[in-house]
Amino acid sequence: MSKRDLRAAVGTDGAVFMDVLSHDLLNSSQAILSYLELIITNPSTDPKNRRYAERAASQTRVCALLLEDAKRTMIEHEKMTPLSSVKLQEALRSSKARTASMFPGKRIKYNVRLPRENVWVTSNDILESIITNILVNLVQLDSSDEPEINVRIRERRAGRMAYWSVEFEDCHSFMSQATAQGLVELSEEKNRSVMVKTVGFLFAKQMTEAQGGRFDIKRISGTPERPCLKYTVMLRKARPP
Amino acid sequence: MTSVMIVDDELFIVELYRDILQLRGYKVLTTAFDGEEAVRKYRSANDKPDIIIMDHRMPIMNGVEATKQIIGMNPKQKIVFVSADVLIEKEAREAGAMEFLPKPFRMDDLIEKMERLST
Repeated sequence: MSKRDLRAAVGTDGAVFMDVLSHDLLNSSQAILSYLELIITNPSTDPKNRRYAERAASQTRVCALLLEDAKRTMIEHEKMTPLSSVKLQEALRSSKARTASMFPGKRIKYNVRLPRENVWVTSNDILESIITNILVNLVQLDSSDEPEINVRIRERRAGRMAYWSVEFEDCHSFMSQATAQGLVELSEEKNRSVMVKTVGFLFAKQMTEAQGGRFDIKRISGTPERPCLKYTVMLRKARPP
Repeated sequence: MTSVMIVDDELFIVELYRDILQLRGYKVLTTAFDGEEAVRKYRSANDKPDIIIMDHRMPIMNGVEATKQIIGMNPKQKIVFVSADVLIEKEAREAGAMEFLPKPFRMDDLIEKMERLST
């Protein structure tokens, strides 16, 4: 077997293994979540234990999301899902709903600035996963029970290409200056060391770029204790279908 | 009381649905661990379930094929398709499933869909 054949075989086996692994783990997550729900909704559960169970449920949901990311990455690596016109507001709405369902103990507030009613981008159903990963990470990095996320959608140009960008501004995350710098470098591909939420942001970056878009993380301001970061997803403009 | 048939190859998932659905006042009529068993039991049952909860990835016959065969016998049968394969939704709906839930889901979401189907 040549090196190339070996790599292809390992690649295929890896995809199959990831597929069945994620399937079994999602089934297990289903059972864990459902039994936790029974504890949470039981009137005799005391408030402290209910809070613990809610946190366990949220983290199990995050595990499930990361598994989906891994599975999706393998699928897209094998054969990319066709691109079409996707309504950005619809993807944002679904992502917000999913994020809320993953953290029922938190009241997430969004300040959304939209230039117009209908914004269409070149993408597919992965867009919802990209946005969900960003929102989930921002909520997880915020210790508050009422996280606040600023979202701004605007037109951008890069060379001759026209894009829509979705910017998520966050000044509430609990992270050090070094971690913030690490995330900026992650988006610039200068640093791939393990730090907070690397996988979720890496997924967002890889999938955005696979769709012909751009993803970056920039420092915008903030105090030494709380750096402010802006996470930007840029996707090519599309016409309504 | 709404009657249910549970089809899933994982014993712990079947037990989970049975525990929770019975707590919520549903009657679990029967269970099956693969698509072929589901089709066979459905065909021979005098008392058909109001709703079938159908998994996709199962040995011998998958959920989409089982859904097609059951809908072939009774086009009005209500089937809630549940799967860890998000990409199978379109196929499941085309086969005749009325609702789709990606795993892992909240049991409240399953109950809500079942209540909508029973009314």
